[in-house]
Amino acid sequence: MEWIQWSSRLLLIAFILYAIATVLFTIAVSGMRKDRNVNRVAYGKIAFILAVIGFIAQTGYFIMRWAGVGYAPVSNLYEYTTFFGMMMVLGFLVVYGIYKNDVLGLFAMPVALLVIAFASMFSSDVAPLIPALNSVWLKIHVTTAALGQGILAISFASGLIFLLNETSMRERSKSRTWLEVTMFVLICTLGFILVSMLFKGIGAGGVVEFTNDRGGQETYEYFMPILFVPEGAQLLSGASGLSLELPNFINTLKLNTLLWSVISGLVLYVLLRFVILRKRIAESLQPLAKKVSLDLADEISYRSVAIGLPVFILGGLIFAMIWAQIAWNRFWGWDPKEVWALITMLIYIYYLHMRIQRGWTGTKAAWLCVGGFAVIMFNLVFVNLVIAGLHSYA
Amino acid sequence: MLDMKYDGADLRSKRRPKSWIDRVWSFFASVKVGLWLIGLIIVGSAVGTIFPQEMYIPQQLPASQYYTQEYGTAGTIYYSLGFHNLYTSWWYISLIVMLTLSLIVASIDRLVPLYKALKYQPVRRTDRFMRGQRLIGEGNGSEAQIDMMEQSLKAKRYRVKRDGDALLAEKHRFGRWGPYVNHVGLVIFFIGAMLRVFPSFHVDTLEWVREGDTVALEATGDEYYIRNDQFILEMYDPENNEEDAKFAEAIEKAGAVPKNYETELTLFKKTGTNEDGSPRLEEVETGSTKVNHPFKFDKYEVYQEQYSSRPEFLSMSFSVGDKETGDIYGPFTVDMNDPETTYDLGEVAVSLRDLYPDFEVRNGEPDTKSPRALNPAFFFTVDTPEGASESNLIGIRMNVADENNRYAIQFAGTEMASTSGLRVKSDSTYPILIVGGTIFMIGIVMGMYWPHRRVWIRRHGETDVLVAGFTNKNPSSLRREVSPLLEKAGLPIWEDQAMFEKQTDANSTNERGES
Amino acid sequence: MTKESKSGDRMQQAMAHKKKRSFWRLMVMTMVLFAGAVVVMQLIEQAGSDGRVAAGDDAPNFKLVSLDGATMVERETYEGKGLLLNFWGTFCEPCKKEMPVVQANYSALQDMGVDFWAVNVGETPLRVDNFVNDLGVDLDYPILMDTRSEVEKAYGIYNLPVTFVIDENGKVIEKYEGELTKEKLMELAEKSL
Repeated sequence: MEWIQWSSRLLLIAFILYAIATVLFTIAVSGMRKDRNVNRVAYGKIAFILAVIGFIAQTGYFIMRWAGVGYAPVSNLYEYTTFFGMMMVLGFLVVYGIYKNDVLGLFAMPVALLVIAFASMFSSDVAPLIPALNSVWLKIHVTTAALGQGILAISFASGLIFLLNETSMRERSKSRTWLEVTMFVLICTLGFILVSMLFKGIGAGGVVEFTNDRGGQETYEYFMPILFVPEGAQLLSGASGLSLELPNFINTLKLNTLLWSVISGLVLYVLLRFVILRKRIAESLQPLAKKVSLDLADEISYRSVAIGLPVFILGGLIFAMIWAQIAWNRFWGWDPKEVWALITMLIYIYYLHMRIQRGWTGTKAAWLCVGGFAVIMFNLVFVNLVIAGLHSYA
Repeated sequence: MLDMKYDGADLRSKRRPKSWIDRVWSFFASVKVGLWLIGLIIVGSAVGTIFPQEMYIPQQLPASQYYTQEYGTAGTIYYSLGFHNLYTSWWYISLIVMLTLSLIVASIDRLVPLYKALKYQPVRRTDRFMRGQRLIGEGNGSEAQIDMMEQSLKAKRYRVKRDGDALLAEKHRFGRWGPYVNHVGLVIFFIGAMLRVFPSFHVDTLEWVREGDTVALEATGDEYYIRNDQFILEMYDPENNEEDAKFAEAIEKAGAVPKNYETELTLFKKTGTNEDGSPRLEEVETGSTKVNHPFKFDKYEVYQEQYSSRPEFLSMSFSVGDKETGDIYGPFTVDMNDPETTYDLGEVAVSLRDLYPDFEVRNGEPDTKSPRALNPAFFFTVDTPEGASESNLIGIRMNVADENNRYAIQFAGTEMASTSGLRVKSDSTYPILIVGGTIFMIGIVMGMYWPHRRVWIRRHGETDVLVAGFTNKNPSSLRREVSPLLEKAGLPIWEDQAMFEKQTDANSTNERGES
Repeated sequence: MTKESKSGDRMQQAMAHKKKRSFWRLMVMTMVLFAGAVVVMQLIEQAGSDGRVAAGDDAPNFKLVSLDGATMVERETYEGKGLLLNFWGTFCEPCKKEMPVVQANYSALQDMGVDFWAVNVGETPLRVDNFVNDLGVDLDYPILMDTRSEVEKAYGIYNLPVTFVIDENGKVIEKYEGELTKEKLMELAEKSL
C-alpha cells in the first residue's frame, strides 16, 4: 500500500509541474508579463525542463504503481488513460527536442493535462488482473500503442495551431465554426472534470434501483445530481433532484453524466466567450498560433504522424495481434476496439497518402489530424464505455 | 514549385490512356481512387461496430430474432442490411480487394519511373529544375567553395557526385523505397489472410470435454484424442492469500474475480481400431492449457477458451436407513448417464423409477429443464421385506416422501465434473502473415525514419552559384543540417519556398537554434 | 520518355512493347480480382456451414438404437424414399405437442414411402421411456436414442424441435425449426420425395 500512496503523490507532483510548464510556455510565447522585457527563450527553456522533471516524476508514479499492484499498471481505464497522458508528454518532449517550439508546448501540454485529469475520474482502485490480461504481450502491446497514440496526439496540437493560424476569424466559414466546436468539446471535458470533482466532494449524487429490460434488478450509482432515472426507478439514497423518467433502453447514468458535462461546458464557454475574453475562443488563441508559420505547423504535424504511426501500428495492431492470438486464439476478431484501432491507422494512412495528392494538403490535412485524435479518444472513452466488447475492462 | 514526387518523372498512368486496359489501370493507379477506397473502408468498418457482429451474440437465439429483440427497429434494419456479418460481406471484401489492387497497380506505376529517374539522375540540373525546388538559394560563389562544401557534406555522410563545377549530394535514397516495400509486405499479409479462408490452411474447432472424458479432435481429422484430466478454476482470494490481500477492496465492490482457468489434459494418438470399433489409443504426453499459455503439439494448438459455469453430476450415491432399527443399507451409486433401474441392497431393494437430470416442476408434475445433470432429482421406490413399495422423490435440498415410510433414502456422496471448452486449431498461414507483417513494418520504418535528402550546387553565370535542396519530408530539418555548412563555406544560404505562405515576418518562426 | 521516332522499325518496337505491357497489366489486375472473387465465393459458401447441417448439405451418417433396444437403424442403409429426421427432448414443450400429431399421420407417411425418425438428444432411456408412457399415445414410429449426443453434435442442433427433410440420395432438402402441425408434416413429407 505504501507504494501506491507514493505513486499517487508522484502523479500529483507531475501534474502540478506540467501545469506550471504550461503557464511558462504561455509566457514564453505571449510575453504576457507586467515587465515587458521578458526573456522568452529563458521561459521556454525553464518550461521544458519542468516538463522533463514532471515526466520523470510520472515515470516514478508508473514504476511505483507497478511495484504496488504487481502488474504493469496499464490494465484499467484509470491506469491506461494516465499512461496515455504520460506518453503524450513524452511525444511532446521528443518533438520539442527536434523543433524547440514553445507554441507547441502551449497547445500540447494543456491537452495532456486534460487527459491526465480525465484519467483521475475513473476508479483508481487496485483491481486484480483477469487471466486474459496476465501476459507479457499485454504490457508490450498496451505501452507501445499508448506511446504511438501519444506521439500522434502531438499532430493534433500542431494541426490545431495550423488551423488557428490559417482560419480567418472575420468571415463565416466551416473551418471557423468547427474550430469553435473543437474548442467547445475541449471545454466540456474540462467541465466534466470540474463538476465531477465538485459533486463528488459535496456528495450530490444518489443511488437508484430499477428493473432492467431483461427483468433483472439493477442499481445505478450517480455521482452527479440526478436528472434522469430509468422508468420505475426507486431512490435508495441521496437527493432525488429532477429525476425525469426515461425508457429503459437508454442508459440514464451515462446520459446524466453527459448532460452535466455539456451544461458545465456551456457555462464555462459562455463565461469565457462573453465575460472574460469577449470573443471567440479560437479568435483569442489565434495570435498565439500565428507565432508559428503554417509550413512549420504542417511539418510538425507530418513529423509527429511519421514518428507516431509506425509505433502505433507496431503496438496497436501488430503486437495486439500477437497478444490476441495467444490470449484469445485469434489474432483478429473484429472486436470494436480492434476495428477502431484499424480505423485510427487508416485515418493516418489516409493523411499520409493525401499529401501526395495535389491540393489536398494544408487545411484538409490539419483537420484530419484533429479527426485522428478524435478517433483515438473515441476508441479510448466511447468504445470502452458505450460499445462493450472484449476490451471493456480497459 | 516543381512536383518532385516521382522526381518529376512521367507517370505511366498519367499519359493519355488508349485501350480499356490502360483506362482501368489508370483508375486503380490514381491516388484519389485509393483515398476513396480507404475512406469507404473506414466508414464501413465503423458501421460494423454499432451493434455486435453475429459471432458475438448469444448462440441460442437466431440472429434474425436477436437484433430485433435487443435493438428494436434499428436492429432489424441492421440485420436486414447484412451488417451483422459486415466484415465477411461481399462488398466489404470487394473494397479490400480493390484496395489491394490499387496498392499493387499504383506501386508498379510509380516505382518503375521513380527508380529510373533516381538511377540515371544527372549531377548538373537545369535552372528551371533547381529553382523549382523547395529550398533554393542564389548568390556569389566560387568552385573552391563548392569543393569545400563537398568535404563538409561528405562529413555529414552524404554521397557526393561531381560533374565539373556541379555537385549532387544525396543521402538515404533507400528511404524512397520504403512505401513500396511496405506495400509488398501488405500484399503478402493479405495473401496469408486470404488463404486462411480455406480449410486446408486453417482449421479451428471448439471441443467441449468433460472431466474424465476423452474426445477425438475433429481439427486433427480424429488422429488425436484429448482427455480432460482436471479443470482448474482459481479465484483471487484476498482473505487467505497474502499476495491478493491488496485486492480486497476491489473484489468486495465488483465480486469475485477469476485468477486462472486451466485444463490439465492427456494427449493420445490413434494407432488403430479395436475389434469393437473403438479407437486404439496410445498416450503421447500430458500437459496443460491455460489462458495465455496454449498447449502445443504436432502443428496444433489447444487453447483454454471456455468452461461451463456449472459442473455436472456424474453420479450420485445414496444409502437407505431403516427408521425403526437404525440400520443403514447401501450405499449404492446411480450413474447419471447410464443408470441402473434396480439396486439390490440385501434386505431391501431400490428401484429407480425416473431420473430428472435438471429438475423442475412443470404443470404440477416433476420434469426436467434440460438433458444436462445440473440439478438432478430421483424418483425411487423402496421394496420393503414386507412386500410394500414406498416412494421417494429426492433432489438437491428436496425429499418428498410419506411420513409413514419405514425406510428413508439419504445422500451418500456425489461425483461431479466440470466441462472445459477447448479450441483446437492449426494455421499454416502464420509464417506468411509474420513475413508479410515484418516486411510491412520494415518498409514503414524505412520510409518514415530515413528522409531522402539531396543538395545540388552549380555555378550559374560567371560568379554566381545556385544552391538547391530537396527532401521528401521535413524540409526544416534539411535546412538545419545543411544551412550551417553553406554558411561555413560562404555559399549563398537557401530560402524555404514555403508551400502555404510567404514568410513576410522573419520573426514569425519561433524556431530557435536557427535564425 | 523516348522521343517519337519516325523509323518504322522503332515504331514497331514501341508497339510490341506496349502490347507486352498491356498484357502484363491485364494479368496483374485479373489475378488480383480472381483471387478476390475466390475469397468471396468461399466466404459465401462458408457462411452457411457453421457446423450446422443445412439445406443442400449431405446428411451425416449415424447408427442408432431404438428406445426399446430392438432395432438399430443406420441413415445410409435406409431404403425408403424420403426421410424426416426429427430431433426432440422430453424437456421441450412443442416436441411433446407434435408427437401425437406425427403419430396420427404416421401411416399416411408410410404409405407415401416416407419414414419419420425421432432422435432423442442425450437423455437416458429411463427418462424417455417414462415420458413416452405418460404421453397417452402409442407411438409406432421409431424413437432413436442418441445418449452420447453424437448425432446432435454432428447435425449442429441448437433449438428443438427441428426436422430435417432428407431425400432418397441422402441430401438435406430443408431444415425446419419449430413444432410440426399436420399441414407442415405433410408438406415436408412431399418435399422429401
